[in-house]
Amino acid sequence: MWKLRERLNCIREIGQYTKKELWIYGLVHMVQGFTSYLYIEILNKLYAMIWAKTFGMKLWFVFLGLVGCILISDILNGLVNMAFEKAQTGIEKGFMTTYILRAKNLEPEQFLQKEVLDAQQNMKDALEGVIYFYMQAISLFFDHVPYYLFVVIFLIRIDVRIAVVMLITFIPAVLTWKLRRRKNYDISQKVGEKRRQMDAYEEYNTTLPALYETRYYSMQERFLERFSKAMQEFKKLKTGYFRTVFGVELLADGLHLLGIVIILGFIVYMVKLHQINGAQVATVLTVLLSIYDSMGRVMKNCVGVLYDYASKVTVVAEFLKLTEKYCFVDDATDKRSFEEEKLQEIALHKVSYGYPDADDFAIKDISLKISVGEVIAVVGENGSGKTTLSRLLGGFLPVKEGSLCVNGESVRESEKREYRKKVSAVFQDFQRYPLTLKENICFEDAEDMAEEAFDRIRSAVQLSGKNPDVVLSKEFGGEEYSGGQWQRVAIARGQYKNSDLLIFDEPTSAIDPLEEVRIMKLLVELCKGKMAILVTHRIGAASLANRIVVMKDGCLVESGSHEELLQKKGEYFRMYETQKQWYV
Amino acid sequence: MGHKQIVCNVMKRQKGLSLGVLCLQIITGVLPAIYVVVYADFIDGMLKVVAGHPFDAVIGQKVIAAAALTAFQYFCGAYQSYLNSELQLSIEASEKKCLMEKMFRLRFLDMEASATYELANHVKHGIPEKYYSYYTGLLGAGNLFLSVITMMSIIMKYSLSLGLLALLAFVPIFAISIKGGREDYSALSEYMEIARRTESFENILAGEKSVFERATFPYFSWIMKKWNQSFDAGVKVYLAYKKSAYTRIKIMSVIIKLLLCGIIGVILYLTSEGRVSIGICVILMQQVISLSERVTWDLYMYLYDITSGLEYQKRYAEFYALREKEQGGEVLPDAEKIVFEDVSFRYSPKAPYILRHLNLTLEKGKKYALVGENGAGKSTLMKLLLGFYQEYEGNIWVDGRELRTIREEKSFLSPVFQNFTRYQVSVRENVGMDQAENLTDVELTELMEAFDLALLDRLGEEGYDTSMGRLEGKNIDLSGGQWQKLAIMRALSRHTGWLILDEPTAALDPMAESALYELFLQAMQDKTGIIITHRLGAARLSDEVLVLSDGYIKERGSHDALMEKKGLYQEMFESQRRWYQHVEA
Repeated sequence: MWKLRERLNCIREIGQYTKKELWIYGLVHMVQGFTSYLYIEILNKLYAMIWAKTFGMKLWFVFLGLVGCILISDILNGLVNMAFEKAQTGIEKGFMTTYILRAKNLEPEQFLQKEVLDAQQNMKDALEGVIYFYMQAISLFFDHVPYYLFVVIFLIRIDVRIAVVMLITFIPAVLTWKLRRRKNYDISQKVGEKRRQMDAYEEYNTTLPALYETRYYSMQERFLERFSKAMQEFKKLKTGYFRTVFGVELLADGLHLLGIVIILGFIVYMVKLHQINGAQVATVLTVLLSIYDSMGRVMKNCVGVLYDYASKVTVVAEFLKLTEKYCFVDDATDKRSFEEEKLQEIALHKVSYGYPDADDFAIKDISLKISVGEVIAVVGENGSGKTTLSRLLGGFLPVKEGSLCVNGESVRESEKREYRKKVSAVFQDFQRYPLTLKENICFEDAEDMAEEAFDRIRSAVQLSGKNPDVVLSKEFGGEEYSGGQWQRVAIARGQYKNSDLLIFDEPTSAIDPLEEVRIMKLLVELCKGKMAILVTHRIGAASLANRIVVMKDGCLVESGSHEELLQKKGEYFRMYETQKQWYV
Repeated sequence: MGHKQIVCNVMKRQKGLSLGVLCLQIITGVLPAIYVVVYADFIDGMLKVVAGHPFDAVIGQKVIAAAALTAFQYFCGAYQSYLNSELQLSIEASEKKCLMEKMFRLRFLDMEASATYELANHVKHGIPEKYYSYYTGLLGAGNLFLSVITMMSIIMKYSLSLGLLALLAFVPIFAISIKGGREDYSALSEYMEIARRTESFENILAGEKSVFERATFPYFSWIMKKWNQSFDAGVKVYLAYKKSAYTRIKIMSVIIKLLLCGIIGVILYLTSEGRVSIGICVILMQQVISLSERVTWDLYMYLYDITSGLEYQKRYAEFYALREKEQGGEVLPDAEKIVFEDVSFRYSPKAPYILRHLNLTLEKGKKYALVGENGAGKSTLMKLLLGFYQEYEGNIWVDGRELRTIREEKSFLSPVFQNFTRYQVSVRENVGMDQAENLTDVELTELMEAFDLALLDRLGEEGYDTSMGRLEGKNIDLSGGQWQKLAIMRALSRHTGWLILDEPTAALDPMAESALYELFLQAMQDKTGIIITHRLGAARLSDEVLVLSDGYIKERGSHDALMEKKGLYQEMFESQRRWYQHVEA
């Protein structure tokens, strides 16, 4: 029951943006259905006249009616197609709008969860299925169902038994459809496995950089052999499947044929008993046969599709449900607005955090305070928790234990979004947007920005010579920046946003050692008057900070200034000496 | 031109299947006409019975004939589906194999060029659809043509002039369809470009990669607006193209239908004159209408497929015409001396020179460090030494032989690449590669121990033949650092005289990275080794440092010698050392 209600809600939510187009599509379909029915009536009249050998003006009149029907039907067909395209694009827009807006509700942590990512991907993949679902549902209910209803009534008017026969012959169609569905699913698992094998071997033999090694070590022939073997097995699986389908289709056709034989037999029977006249023979035969054929197709394409794609709608409903489950209910009335507040002090009190889908905590029982004007360096080996710490301080991740306090007051999870407005960052995996240089740094403000204002921003990160209005993406016809240039864009971006807390996570990983010094000093400059966190594993750079915090296995093991820590001769001293030994 | 190539390729590689499909299309092409004859006969028989004629064996035969024909029609339909699926599968298998064989024979220089990469991708993505659709489209059009002709010949039996007229009328219709299919194909690519743009905005707004930035920077509504604009622009182009396509098709189909109604009118007239039986009249009307549907819609699709196939074929031919690397050459397991003589190299005539008049001598037994800024050409130098590029100016002498005459693989130098591949094959194969069969368990264990990588206890009964990754059954996975060690073992197991280690990616923290360099240089012992690095602290481990800058070796010498020189190296070293110095002061 849940499934039905959820699906209906889902359908409503997505369709809300295209109501008009969907109604138009339905309407055109309805007219088409009616026209098709009209066609049968006129045809019947025509046959009756031919049989009765009335070949006067009246015949040609009816004939003109037939012509009109055919032409209108044809034009309608075009209208239906156009309406379909309009509605389809509308649904796609609604679908993607829902997809994007729902994703907005999610917190960053959710994007680290496999469950959420899978649901999101599944929804995206379901677009086509959902479109077909809408379209076929409409055509079924506005066109086919009324049409068949009318036809049945028409046949009943001739003779009830014919209508009964026709209804009976639906049974094979239903049976065969059920039969087809069952055979469909079985091989997809094994086929998927073979695909992955083929893809892997293909990658080793046809893409860089793998091909460097493959060729160097003469592995091409081997991989080709394995690829062929996997391909053979794949072919075998598929052929087996095709043969099964062939068998099923033959069976289905056999049943279908049975229906036709019943119809023909019935006509013969009625003719023998002289219960049907010539015109009716002609009409009933052509009508029954063509309806029978189209019924088979409708079952397969329309109803079958509906059934199959209903599962796609469920997929979408699941994602929507997921995004409702996670987003915060915005009902707190006394939420802090950080806009007015200047951040003077940020503290973590006994905070622990573990990533979703992980066994351990990444951060254990950390307490840390940072005040305005301080630059704190966070050092440690890979995997010690440095990045996680910076994310917690920035309010990007929820604290599992303990609390994040700002200006003495603890920050609730529902207030984190407001808090983040005061935080800026240069992330380790900063993004390279396919926008202009100006837009990559200032985003919306780029549109009205004065040249001198941007010049200042540009020169601060030594990008003065660069064109601010060219898109930074080769794919969209612009230019390509090097890793070092992009890093500087990211730094400018982080600096441009008005913030009280700056987070730098490995901000010089792509920068040459020669330049690193310059950039690091620039960063420290930018932090004047604010609070800053510098995550780095360059021990040497840490000494630029006011205070250094040493992470090891998720715990904060040491804290103090560079001199203090060296004197302690603890973890920091060890790391420092290990790195220093290469240079002295 | 292209037509012949595609048809030849398909028929040559899929002999039986392509022939089978062809035959079926011919058979189903004439079926509609036969249908008319048989079913008309049946109706006339029925009408005779209605008119009082007794139901006898003759009539019974007609019923059976009608049923049998329908049965045959269904059988052909199902068999056709089956054969088509098999054909598509067969095309996929053979084309993928051909593509692979071509790809791994290309020159690296070509493969690195983005144009080639795009071309290869384009060809790859067209497998098997383009060839398959082309072939079935061509046959479909032929089938339709056959049906029309046979149908018209039936009409001609009753009225020659009508039949001929109808036949002639179909000619312009075919012509319009052909033109239409071509135009629509190109209009689609403009839409695709906009669609790509729209998708990139979608990823920014809802993607996993940008989540943290999205939470930091307030660009959501602004980008959402951009997405809306891009989407709407795409829709506009799409709908415009569809509208023109449908309009064209509709005009054509209305004309056909009018023509058709004309034909039906004449048939009616002939029926009224008694020249045509009612059965024929009825069935002929029905078949002509259904045929006209096919001529408008199906023909359009066939022609679209044919055009798209031809476009594809152009790029296909271009791809398969690409130069392949030259095979052969001598094998050389070790070298005493390598001399770079005035070597210059650039990736393409339009690109800037990466190496410029580079001169360098390398001697056996020494440990070299190759340093320089990012992009200076260190990796390029490594690839040249490995024999990946033949197109350089100047000469590289290896013990008197030019490098170009030595085989690329099985040369004297084993590499540890920066982006080494984690092959999803067994442990033994990952280390031994093509010599895996000769790599004994004892040797492997020795290597593992030297690198402090005790894997054997983690592996099951299959031992070193357990596969890595997720391709088959039981498998194990290693961390980044462990894989790096495996990659070094891979190079070591070759027993070549020279080894080269390209700087590991920035993912390793400096301490782990330095440890790795140390390990590597230790493992080399009596071999000749080259490490590429910009961690100058590690460069001190080498016997000689080579500083690559502006395309040539600016400085070379031992660390101490270069420091005394107070040149580029000293400056670079000092800037890195500075981090660790101020405390001393």
